[in-house]
Amino acid sequence: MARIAVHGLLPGLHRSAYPGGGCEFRQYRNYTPGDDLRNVDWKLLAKHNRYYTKIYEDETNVNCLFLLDASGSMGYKGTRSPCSKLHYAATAVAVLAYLALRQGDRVGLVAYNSVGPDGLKTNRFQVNVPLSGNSDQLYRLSANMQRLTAQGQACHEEALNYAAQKTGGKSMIVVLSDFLEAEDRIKPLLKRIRTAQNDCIVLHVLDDDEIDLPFDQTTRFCDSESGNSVITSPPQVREHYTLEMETFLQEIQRGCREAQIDYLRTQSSQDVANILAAYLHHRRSSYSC
Amino acid sequence: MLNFVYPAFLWAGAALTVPLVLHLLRRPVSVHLVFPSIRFIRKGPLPHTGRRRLQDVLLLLLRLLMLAAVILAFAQPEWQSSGAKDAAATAEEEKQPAGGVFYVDASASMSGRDSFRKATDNINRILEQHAGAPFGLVVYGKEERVKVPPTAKHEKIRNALRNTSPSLFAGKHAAGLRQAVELLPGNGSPRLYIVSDFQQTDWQLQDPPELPPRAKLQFIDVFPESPSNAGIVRVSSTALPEGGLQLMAEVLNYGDQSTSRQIRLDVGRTVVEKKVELSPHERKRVNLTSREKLPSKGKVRLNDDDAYTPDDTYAAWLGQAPPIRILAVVPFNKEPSKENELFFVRKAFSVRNKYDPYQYRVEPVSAELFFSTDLSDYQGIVLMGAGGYLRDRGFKKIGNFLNNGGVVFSTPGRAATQQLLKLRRQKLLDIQHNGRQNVSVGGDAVYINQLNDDTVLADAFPDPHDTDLFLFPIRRYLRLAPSDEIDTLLKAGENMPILMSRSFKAGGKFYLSAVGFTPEWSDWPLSSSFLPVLRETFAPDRLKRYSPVKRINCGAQVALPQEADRSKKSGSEFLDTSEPAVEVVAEQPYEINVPRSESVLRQQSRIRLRKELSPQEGTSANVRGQAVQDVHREAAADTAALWPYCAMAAALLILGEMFFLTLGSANGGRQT
Repeated sequence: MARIAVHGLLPGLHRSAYPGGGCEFRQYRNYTPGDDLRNVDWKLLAKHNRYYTKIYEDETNVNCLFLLDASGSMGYKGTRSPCSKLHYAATAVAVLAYLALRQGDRVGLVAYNSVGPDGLKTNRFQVNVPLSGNSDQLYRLSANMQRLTAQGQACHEEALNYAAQKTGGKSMIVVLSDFLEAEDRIKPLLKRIRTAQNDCIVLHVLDDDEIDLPFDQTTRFCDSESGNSVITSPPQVREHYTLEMETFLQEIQRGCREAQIDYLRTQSSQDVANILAAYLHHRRSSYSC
Repeated sequence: MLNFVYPAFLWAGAALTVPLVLHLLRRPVSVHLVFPSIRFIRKGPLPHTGRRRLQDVLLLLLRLLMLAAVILAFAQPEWQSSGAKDAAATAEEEKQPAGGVFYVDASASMSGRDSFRKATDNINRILEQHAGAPFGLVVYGKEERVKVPPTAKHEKIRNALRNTSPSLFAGKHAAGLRQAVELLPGNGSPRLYIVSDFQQTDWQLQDPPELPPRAKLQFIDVFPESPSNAGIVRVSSTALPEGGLQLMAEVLNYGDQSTSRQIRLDVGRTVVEKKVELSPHERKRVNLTSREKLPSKGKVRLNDDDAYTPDDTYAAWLGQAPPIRILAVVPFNKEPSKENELFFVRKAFSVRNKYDPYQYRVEPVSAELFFSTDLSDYQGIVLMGAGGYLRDRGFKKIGNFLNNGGVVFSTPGRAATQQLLKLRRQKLLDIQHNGRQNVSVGGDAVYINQLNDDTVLADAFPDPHDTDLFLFPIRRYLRLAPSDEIDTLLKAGENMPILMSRSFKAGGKFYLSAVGFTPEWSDWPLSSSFLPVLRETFAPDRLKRYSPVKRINCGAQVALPQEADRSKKSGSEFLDTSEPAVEVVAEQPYEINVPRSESVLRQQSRIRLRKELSPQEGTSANVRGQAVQDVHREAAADTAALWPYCAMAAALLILGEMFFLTLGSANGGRQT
């Protein structure tokens, strides 16, 4: 699943940054005293009369941390969607966590908004499940995600800083959010994550209604996070809205591209399994190349 | 004149308020929506309110018109031209002399101010137009009044018309038309002229005759130009305690205009008058009071004639109501002591007071002879312990009596067990008998202590503690356990039923007492509460078989009762109902008046009549082509159906509504 080598403690399916006692041949290097004589290629010695040591890939597991935005805007459920954006993102987390756990990785979850677990405005995350590869980790994730409610505002800075500190680099961080009103703030944060040699995936979760503003009737729109409202006739402002939305999406996408982060846009009306299967397939094929 | 085939559909016009109410309720309001982010939603210009409101009003108008058009289409409006115009048009059309038959309606509704004269004038005009052509005549009301076979001598027809007048009966036109069709000449294309006011109640034809294919049908409408009619529907009288009479006359305005009439009671030298104002279709009750002693027969009149004069006079019975006849079945041979019970019951029913206009007559019969008694003239039966001695045939007779609205009151006797057994077997009363209870001398007697407020006795005893109902001792009673379908009126001791009743269809009622009405059983017959109990159970307004006055229509066939047969001199078995009058037969007064169904100012659809009389007009065989065309032309001149136009208008309005909806959604996508 991971594209770059990550550091891990337990053997897994991922390539380790450290060559070691694996069974898959990686490269030769010149023999240096102290190398294990078992790794000296005796055939090359006989042929070229020079000592070469065989280096093998070592397979380790990976830390996979999910950062789930649980702000108020993620609670929106449009007329064409079967569930809210938060529910959709939680499903995607469950799917990915299941895959990761099956291949021996450690997974953790941070669900963040400006409201703490006790309902007070604190900096603590609403849900924080530490990294673990235990068999009941998936159950723990699911149970915690079921308790989630979309409320407050998104605090991307705290969540991404926490992830950078907690993982210490060379881990996989999956961010699931709608990134509304955060396109300027999110770019440096993502760069920082990436600089720490973490593998990062951004899952941009949107509702169909947010894309095209399909309403016909005069509507009082109330912001789910700030509480501000505006009355307008959607047909009259639709064109302007879609243009602005497109610019916003391109901005987020450009930020991810500059930080060399995988960007995956999803709409909550789409089948989460199909979206993820297509993405993982694409990711595997690009890795193979 | 605009008529509706199904005017009842016009009530659906109330549905027009629905879109109006919806329009008022569904004001344009903005929808509240919690949205993820409103950063990109700018405060746009709202749709132009004035224009939208205009569109809404137009849409509402379209919908109201559409609904109205649909309702009108269902009500089937039709435009009918007047009879004079029809006759003139016919005269114009008929260039060639052709034979035919005039069928003249002589029902009571034709006896208005000028209907029959107009009919005669129209016929004379047609006869002048077709001098020499053979014409027949059938004047028919309830039965044939004049019949002239086709003849070229038109004077015969003119004379016959001159010497006849409308009847006072409701018309039976199916039979009359059958005679007219039989008279139609066999050669050429004869015409059947139907001259009538086409009053709706008369022209509901049952089994109408079918016209021969070659015959043509022509309607000549003599309905009044501006119809107005008010009539007296019924009169009832009540004797005043201080002497004199109070009359309640029910007056109904059948017309569409308000009217002011004078109502007048005219009996001998006594005249009482009152003015009555009537709105369209209003029914009003007018009280007329006379302090003088009046004869028992009189007439109430409305002044000024109108479209239908016979209903302005009402022959009314002003005398006393006939007695309520009660048959007392007594087992004289088996239980001679029951004669005492007969004495007490007779005494209770014979009491008169000046406030009660009704009187009772108790006629005893032995239980052995009950099976041969004709119950048709009785309104009530008192079985004085006689139930145990009647056979099944007698109980079947009682069952029929109950199911025809009769009231039966039964008291126990020595054969109470057999009586209750037979009642249960005949499914008249399902009561379990648990034996007879006798209170020994010096023992504690039982007293009535409960009165059911939901029963007939509640009116007679609004406060039973103020009477002696709970005070007389009961020394002997039957211990009974009634089933659920039986009501208990009175109870004594510890929930012991004393008086029970069961209702039957058509208002019949069976009362069963657990106590006999003799001093051996209780002191009840000696108490003052005995009379109200008996008289309340046989109250005149609860006796469905009793009518103080029988109101019948002129021409109705009423068989005379047997007692009248025995004294009759004329030899007829039926009452003479040829003219309005008041007759008294075997103490029963009969008010004979012209049928009020004739008073209704509503016409039958000519299109429907034409379809009923000549159903072949729908086919277009070559042989009858010309006749069919004529029929269609006549129909067009006579009545024009407007419902296709209404349906077309409704369809156009639906298209208009769709256009407006499309326009509305294109101009801002407003949801409607």
